[in-house]
Amino acid sequence: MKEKIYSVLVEEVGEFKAKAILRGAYHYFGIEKDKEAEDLLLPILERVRLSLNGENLKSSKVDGVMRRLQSMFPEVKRVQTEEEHIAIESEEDIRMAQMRAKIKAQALGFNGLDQTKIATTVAELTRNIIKYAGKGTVTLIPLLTDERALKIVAEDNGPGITNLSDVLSGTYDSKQGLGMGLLAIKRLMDSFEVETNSGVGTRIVVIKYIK
Amino acid sequence: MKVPLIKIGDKLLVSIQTTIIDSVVASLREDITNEISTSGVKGLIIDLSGIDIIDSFFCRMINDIGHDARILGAKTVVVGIKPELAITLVQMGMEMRGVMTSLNLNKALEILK
Repeated sequence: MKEKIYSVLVEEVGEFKAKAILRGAYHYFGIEKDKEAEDLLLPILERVRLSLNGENLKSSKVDGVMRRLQSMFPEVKRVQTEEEHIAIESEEDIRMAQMRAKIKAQALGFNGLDQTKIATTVAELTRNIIKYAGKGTVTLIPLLTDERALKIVAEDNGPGITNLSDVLSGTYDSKQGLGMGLLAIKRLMDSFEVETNSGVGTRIVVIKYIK
Repeated sequence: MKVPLIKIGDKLLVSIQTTIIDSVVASLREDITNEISTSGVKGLIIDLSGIDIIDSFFCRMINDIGHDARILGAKTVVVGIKPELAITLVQMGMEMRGVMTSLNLNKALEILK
């Protein structure tokens, strides 16, 4: 995988930049030198895209390089249609989840602003999981009906939210900021539902439509 | 992973390049307050140009750092927030209280003159 990406980058931006960009992308995810990371293909490609943007290339050039890279990996196509299940167990997973959400949103055709809103929502959801439940899961579900959309489900078996109505009406001001986070999610998404049971857990389902 | 602090004259520049985790936040606040109190800088510039996502946690951290700095006698200017992040923050109902903001480093230096 590394070799394939490298060979395209060398042709497009030259050996020197190709090496720096690829090394940067692998390093970002803490992948050791000479190791492969097939399951991180999409996050790695996203880092490559950010680095290419950082090189002040024309956006058409960046798009072209990315199309070449994506066409080499058929699994990229699957991102548009398949559900993605992400285990949230440590703070590192927050960054990973928000990046995967951004990539999925991009693949589905959301504009840059909505990609940011989706990634921010996932950041809030996953941070709440880590903070209050310790661990949980986030599932990204593409909805490919007439109205294309991304559905995000966050689940945990934590203590639950006991004062949900206060939190959502904005009258409850949490020191740790749960209130702010949930309200923010509600404002950023088109649909927002919470199921929570004290001592059993919390399930939050949000949907964002492509406009 | 440590966030570097760079001193420019009587100002302190903190460039946060990637989303940071709780434990790093705690040490970053400590490093910044230590630096302000020992070197007596009058201005703190926080560069967020490398940041792609600002969630409520991150926003609160920036507010807290601005608050720390003010109590220690330094003004804080946040620079380099991307347009889509600004729109997202407003929609979320988040505010950057206690810190000034500016488009880029040059303008921040002017504000702190």
